[in-house]
Amino acid sequence: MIDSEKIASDFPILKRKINNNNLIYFDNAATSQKPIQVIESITNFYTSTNANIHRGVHTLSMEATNLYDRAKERVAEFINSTDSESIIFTRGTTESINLVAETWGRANLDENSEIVITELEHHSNIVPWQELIKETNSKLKYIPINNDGTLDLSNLDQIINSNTKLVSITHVSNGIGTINNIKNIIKQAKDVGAITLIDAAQSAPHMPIDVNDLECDFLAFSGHKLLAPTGIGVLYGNKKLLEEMPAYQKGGDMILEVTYQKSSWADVPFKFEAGTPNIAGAIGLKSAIEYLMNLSMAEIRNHEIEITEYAYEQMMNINGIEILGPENIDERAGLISFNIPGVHPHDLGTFLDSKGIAIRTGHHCAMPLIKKLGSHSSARASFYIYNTKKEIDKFITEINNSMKYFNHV
Amino acid sequence: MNDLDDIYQELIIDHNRRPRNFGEPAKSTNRAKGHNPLCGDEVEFFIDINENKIINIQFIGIGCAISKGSASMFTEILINKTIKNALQITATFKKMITTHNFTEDLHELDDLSLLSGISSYPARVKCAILSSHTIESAIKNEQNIISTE
Ligand SMILES: Cc1ncc(COP(=O)(O)O)c(C=O)c1O
Repeated sequence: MIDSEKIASDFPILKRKINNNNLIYFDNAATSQKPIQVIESITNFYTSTNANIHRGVHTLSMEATNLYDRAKERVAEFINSTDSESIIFTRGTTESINLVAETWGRANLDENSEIVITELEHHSNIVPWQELIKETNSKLKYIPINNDGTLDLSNLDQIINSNTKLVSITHVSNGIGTINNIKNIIKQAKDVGAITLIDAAQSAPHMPIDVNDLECDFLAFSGHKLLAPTGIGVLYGNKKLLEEMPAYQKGGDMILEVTYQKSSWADVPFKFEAGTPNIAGAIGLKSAIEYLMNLSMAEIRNHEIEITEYAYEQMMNINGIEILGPENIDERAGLISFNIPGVHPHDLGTFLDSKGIAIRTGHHCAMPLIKKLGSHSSARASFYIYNTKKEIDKFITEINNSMKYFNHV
Repeated sequence: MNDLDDIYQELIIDHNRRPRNFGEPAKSTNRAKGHNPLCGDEVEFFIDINENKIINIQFIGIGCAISKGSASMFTEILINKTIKNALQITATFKKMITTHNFTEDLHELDDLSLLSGISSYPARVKCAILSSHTIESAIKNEQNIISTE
């Protein structure tokens, strides 16, 4: 069991007042808050260990290198990869996906190739492929969705076929919270010899991830959504593929040997990490992952099921409410996207902010999805380890108050 | 609840609930569409201009209380105004919305001056600006869709 009130006490920002109210932070799908342990790991690094990595023989450099390498080991452990050399540090999910598009994609796609994504994707798993197909004359296909925001897999064996070179899908939809059955889709992709990429930006922070079991080729996520600082993210890659792939950015740290005429690349994963990396970010990520693993990812998921069900049931009692996405909690992450009658999401967002409650409003970087579901925008509450049922009670009360406020004249 | 009432004045909420001059008229000389791609708000203005004077102005669209309320208030204020005067009003409105502690005379803005509080809510400025941009575009009969981005 997760003791969310005790956890909340580790997060200094949660003591803040917003517009004279206690902060209730329900915008976790955008980014999570940071516990003191993570904040201190970064301060400590800069206070006592700061140095560049992989290049000095002096004590600080060796210590910094050691911490950075241990961060990779932790990440590998976190997603159950047996090999920390499969872990590439990036700026975040967006850069991880772009890395695959620009290296593997450019080298492997031609006019006969098809890329398959879904109608649920975040813009960062749409736009890189739209650009790549222009360069390579390949095609982009979508797995459609049903009205409840689950994937319509009825034509999957036509969509994924022998022309399919890459299947890139989100594990959890940031727009409406759908959890996709990625294991089945990965299996179908493998059956036709396609490469698979999982966007785990919204799942890695909230549930156990096991790349060994999933057998995906790539998996991407961002540190900042799982208690770590911004500017650090992960691309896990199948080692054999990574070795075959061309380098990404070029420069220092990613080379083996440089002459004035030509250069050769360092081994995986350094081939993909040109320049001085975000060392402090990696150390923050290590600390964040240790914090999460200490709580257990399975317990975190259980906690989110409990409060999401609690919120969902009460929200369903609000007259005229429309909740986007699946009803079944097994298919829904800790995220509720909704519209209430007579109150535009923006106005609800401003109203709740005046009560100290932070939610997201708009299209959540999933414009085509929100349109397809017949909305122009929605309000989104997304939960995490420090959120409590008491906060949800206040949230529901204030939604009801907002309906009175905007409809009273 | 003071802060909230600063931007959601009673009259704005009223205009949002019961927008005036809402709907597409049978006849208009000028029209323009506006769009806020980041939040999905859409508005379209229809203006009938005769001898440099606005003789009818109506709108349709979807949006938050600020964007819909301000659109509705604009239609009430701009009717029977000359084009020159109307463009002055939209310009002053824009200045008011984007300037902190705007001190110029807001007399010509009439009820629209109630929206001045929005200048302290940067996240909502675009909601208020959409109508004035779109009205200007309609008056100039520009063909492109106005976007706040
Ligand atoms: C599903 C999904 N994919 C990708 C991203 C992009 O992540 P980042 O902005 O950290 O690169 C997000 C973040 O909102 C997301 O929710």
